[in-house]
Amino acid sequence: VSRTGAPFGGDDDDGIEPATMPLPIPREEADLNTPARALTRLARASLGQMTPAQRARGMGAVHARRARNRRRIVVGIAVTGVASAVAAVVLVPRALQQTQIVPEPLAYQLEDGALMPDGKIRAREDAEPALKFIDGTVIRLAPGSTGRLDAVDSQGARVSIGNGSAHVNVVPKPKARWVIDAGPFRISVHGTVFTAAWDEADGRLDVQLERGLVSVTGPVTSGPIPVRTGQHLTVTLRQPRVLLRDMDDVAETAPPAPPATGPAPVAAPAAASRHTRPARAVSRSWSAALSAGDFDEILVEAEHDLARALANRNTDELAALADAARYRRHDDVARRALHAQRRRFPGSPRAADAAFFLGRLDENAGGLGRALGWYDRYLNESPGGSYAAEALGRKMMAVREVSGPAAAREVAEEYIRLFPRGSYAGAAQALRRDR
Amino acid sequence: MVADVRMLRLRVVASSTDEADASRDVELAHALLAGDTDAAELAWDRYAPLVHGIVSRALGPDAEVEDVTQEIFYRLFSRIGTLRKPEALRSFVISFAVRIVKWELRRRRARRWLTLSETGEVPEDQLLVMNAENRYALRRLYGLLDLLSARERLVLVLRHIEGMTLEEIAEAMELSLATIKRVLRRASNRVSEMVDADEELSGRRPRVAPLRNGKRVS
Repeated sequence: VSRTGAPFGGDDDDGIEPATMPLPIPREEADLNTPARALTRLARASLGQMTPAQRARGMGAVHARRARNRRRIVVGIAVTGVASAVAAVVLVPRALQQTQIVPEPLAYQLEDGALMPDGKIRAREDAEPALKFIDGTVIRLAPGSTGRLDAVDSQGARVSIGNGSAHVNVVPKPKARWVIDAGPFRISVHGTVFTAAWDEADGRLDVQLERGLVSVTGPVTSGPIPVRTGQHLTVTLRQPRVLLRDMDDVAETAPPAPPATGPAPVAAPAAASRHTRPARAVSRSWSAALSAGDFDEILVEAEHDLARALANRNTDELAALADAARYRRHDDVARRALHAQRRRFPGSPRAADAAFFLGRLDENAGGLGRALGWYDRYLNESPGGSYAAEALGRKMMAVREVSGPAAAREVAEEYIRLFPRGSYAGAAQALRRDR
Repeated sequence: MVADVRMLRLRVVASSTDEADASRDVELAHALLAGDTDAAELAWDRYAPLVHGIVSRALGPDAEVEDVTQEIFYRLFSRIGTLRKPEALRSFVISFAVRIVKWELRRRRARRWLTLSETGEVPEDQLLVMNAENRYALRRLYGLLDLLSARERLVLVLRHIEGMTLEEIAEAMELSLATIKRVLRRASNRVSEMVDADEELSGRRPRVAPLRNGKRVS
């Protein structure tokens, strides 16, 4: 145990004498001696992280067990009925069969591949393994892609794309529940045909909607993003950005494949704005319009009298306006909406979130110093907030740009301590190694 | 999965991490009590990482952590009707988790006594992400924690590893504050003594070349 009481040596231990200044001992550790304290810190830092796969698997397992239990209860009632009335021996099971509470999971088969015990889909050589469900839904992995069948129930299934792409054709059905996980993103499907691609190395998601509607949630998206027929959504994590464009525009402005150079962030939204729709005759809430993907509707209505909108709209609507403006790259409008949010609803969670988004806007505009200020403000106001990991990660990268790697190392240490499996963990580890 | 307005509202509830906003918990609790199937999923999304953390840190990096977490939620959903204060959903979840973990610790202890095959050692494959030194240290630590009673171990873990307040622990374990303080003191002293007595652990130093006469020697 080091004299600082720090956890045991890490992989990056390079033989340099650690600082001898003792670290402050948290109050809850005061009654353990130094070696025991170091061990508990090690346990705290190393254990307890839940992977997305565990989260996905767990809920499915709990659901399945509850369903089995319900079935058991039903059978128990039937047996009791049999004992009390002989006549029911024949009738009760039939009735139960007809009104079974928990329907069976959808039947399916895997073509051109094999399903491993953990749900992983293993393709035959150069084949495109296809999951075919009895309701007609087909999920086909592209050659070389990795995927896993996480759960199946009576209303749909949950499939994850580890790396690569999948073509998904979900047959519309009332109460259907289909979910595609692509890396850290969740695509909720509402009866549709689309292609989803996740590039793990570049941290890039592409969703192309041929027909129907899906909504995408995950890091950077700040809430569900609806993607509709003919639209192409690109989300990149390395340079966090969200682009929602018409597929024709994508074909004109950016080739679908190599994400290394990234999508065209300026040209594409400009192209999309050509399709600006007029405001509807009957106005609806901006939150609803945002959920439906009608960003232009919000912007047209707001920009008609922006000052009034900023002064009178409620916190939800201001947030919707800021989101719509960010998605459409109307940065000035987004900034004003976010400032209004902070001015009019100080201390609220949305006001804290606004600080984070203001940082993002400043960072995108090249104002790293200002962005740093906003990230710090967000982390102070909402240390456990939804964007805390990203704010700290972005802060680390910005400090590296502004003040160099040595200054960023301290932020990297904090990032690894708080978010050891976060999106920026790799960058933080690299900073720590480059001593 | 149609995102109707209610679902959207509940999603907002589930995605919040602001513990101070108890009203969001209340809304989720009411949805659970009403038997809303979506609410169960949202409760899982919101609390599974917390429960998983408690289970993992209490049991050690054990292969059964996932199963125990699922067991907790299964029982929680079955017994949600016993939730009397919707605003105390978080405490209710933690209390459930602690109770089942305590039971699991006792079960494992009994199993170690009854069988010769189970050593109680931490499975190696769960620790592969760490370096060898830390891996070894954690195995030794949880080996020592196995020597504590289930109650002592839980109080120590919740306080020193999970970072909960004494009041939170007292509420979760349904014990008085004075009892928690007493158990914590005893457990802390025992672990400190055991670590001191463990030559492998107390004699460990970071991989740093020693200094002799002000110069580092290799």
